[in-house]
Amino acid sequence: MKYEYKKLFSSKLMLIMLALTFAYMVYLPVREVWGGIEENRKTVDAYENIIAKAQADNKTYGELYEEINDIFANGEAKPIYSDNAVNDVGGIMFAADKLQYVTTGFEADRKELVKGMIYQNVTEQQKESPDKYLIRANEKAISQYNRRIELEFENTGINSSGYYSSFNYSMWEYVMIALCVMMTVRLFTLEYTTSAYRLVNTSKRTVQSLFFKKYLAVLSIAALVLLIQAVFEIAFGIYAYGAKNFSLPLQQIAEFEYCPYILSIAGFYVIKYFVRLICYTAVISVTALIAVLIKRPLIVNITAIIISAGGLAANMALFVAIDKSEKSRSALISVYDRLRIFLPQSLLNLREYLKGFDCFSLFGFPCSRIVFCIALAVIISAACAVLGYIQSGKIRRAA
Amino acid sequence: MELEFKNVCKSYRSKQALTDFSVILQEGVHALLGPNGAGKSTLMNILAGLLKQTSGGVTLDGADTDKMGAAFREILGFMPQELGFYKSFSAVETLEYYAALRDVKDSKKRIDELLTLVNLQEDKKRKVGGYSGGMKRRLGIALALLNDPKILILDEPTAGLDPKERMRFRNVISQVGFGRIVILATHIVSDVESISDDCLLLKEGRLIDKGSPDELCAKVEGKVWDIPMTEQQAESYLLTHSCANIIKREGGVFVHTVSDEKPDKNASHAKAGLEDVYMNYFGEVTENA
Repeated sequence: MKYEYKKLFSSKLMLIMLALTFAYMVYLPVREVWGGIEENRKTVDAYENIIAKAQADNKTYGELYEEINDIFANGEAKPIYSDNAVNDVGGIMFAADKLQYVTTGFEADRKELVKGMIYQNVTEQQKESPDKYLIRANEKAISQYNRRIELEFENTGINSSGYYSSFNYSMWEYVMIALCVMMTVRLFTLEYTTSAYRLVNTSKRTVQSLFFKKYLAVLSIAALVLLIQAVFEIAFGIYAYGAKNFSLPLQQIAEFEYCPYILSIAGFYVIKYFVRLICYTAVISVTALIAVLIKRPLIVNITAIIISAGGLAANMALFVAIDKSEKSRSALISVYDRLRIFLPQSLLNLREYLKGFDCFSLFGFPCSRIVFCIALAVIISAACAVLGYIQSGKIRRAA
Repeated sequence: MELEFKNVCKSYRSKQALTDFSVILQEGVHALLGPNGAGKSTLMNILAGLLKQTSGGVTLDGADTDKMGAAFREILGFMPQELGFYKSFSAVETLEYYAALRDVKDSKKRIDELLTLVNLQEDKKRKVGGYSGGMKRRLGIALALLNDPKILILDEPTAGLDPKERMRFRNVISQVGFGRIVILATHIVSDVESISDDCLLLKEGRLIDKGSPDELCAKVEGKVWDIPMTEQQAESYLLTHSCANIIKREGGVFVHTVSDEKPDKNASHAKAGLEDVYMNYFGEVTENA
């Protein structure tokens, strides 16, 4: 493997690409709070003080809302927690909303959801030809939602929009795809661009026997970059947004109120980076297959980037369009949901899979979109890797 | 050990690169002589397993080399005409890498020996990308010998080497040529004249003759002529006769040529060498070392 790494990073372009990937990884979150990182931290600290005091005093969310009225009592704003009434109001609102969500809102909303599904099933079963898939899906959802999840009144830190836009589904994914493609192309075409294949293929171990070493070399670099990003994301969440307790349930974050899975925030991160790795594995496998078939670096790079980044672009464009569209929103969602079943690049946006009960009809039975997409990405990766391996043996004869 | 080519044919679309090539080779140095495009590299690539013949086959002691696969490659050393190296690797790293690919035992010792043999000890840690053409050839020779092969294929091994390096190469082949089959393709006759046990003459994809250098020389004995001329006459003679050489020696300038009939009334018989054999069969003068 050490020779494969040497081959990989003997190219200045590869080193530049790797440096760019890291630079962009750091730039995006830093940009979000650039110049105001200390101020941001102060705000987070102030909010946490309010939460801590509310916890110590056993306050209800109603009492916290009343404090806002107290600040503006007698037509004059008088801060309670700091010297700034605006900060106090922001912090109290944040704490009160959180407290309301974890004490009453979350459970009530989910009960309402389950009730709605039970009612829908009863109505459906009374029809002459009931929708069996809908009944099965509702039954599955009900069994998943009928589990108690204990939330706590704490700051999760990661439900900040700045945080999300920096580490989720950002432009960085394109840089990462380009890095994976270029590394794969470099390693899988080097023997042909240098004509070293003649010497390698007349050795006991041929280009074919090096296939999986090259594959693992690229994959390990991709995994390392993802690991660094994960550490950076968590560290940034702790420092800039005050995230502390990663053992809390994912539903602690209001966005995941209807997530049917029992999952901690730490578990969310593990799955997030695991599915990312699966997506990039698929990119590497497809590129490796194209590389052993075509062997010309420029053509392989262009083809593989069009395929890999094209899938991501389609996915992202739809995601943005859904957000902005008013008239054709449901039609766009329907297309996007279909893409999330088949496109491995959809896995880069894990949030969409965990926001609610996310199944589709597979021969009339509810099938989880994320499970299906992961399975498909694994099958694509394995098939391309095996075909690439076989093909690299054939090239030995035809070179 | 016996390497047999049986009716090997290779065609590329409309071009026939090899036609019914059949020969049995035993231990020794076998020179494959022929002009560019004669099919030498095609034959070597087929033997090395880099090309698939259109028909026919190659066997080693009766076993199909194609079917032998890794077992055949284990005893094979190949130096292709176009040497491809990883530019960022040093000579030592290159040899270590291929030693790993070839399962070479006690590779450090072997690499050290080979670097000394090809005179690359001083530059062994330099990146191969900065090597001259001659240094790359020498590294190629070391690579071909790395696994102490029983069958050694060298395709134009002396291209780009200076006279001193050529001499060193001839000595290396003389040293390693025992107990193995060495096949050496070249169009530079002087490289093989003193070291080859036999020569295979290849023209337009066909084996046109074979034999030891002495046997082949005997076939052109009586056809080799020296014609005394002035320098000007010699130059104008060469314009009309491609199959000739100008030789300057004591007593003046001579045109050295091969011809069935006496080419000039002043012509006298000369001793035949392998270069004359080449001139006779291919109708052109070989490249001089």
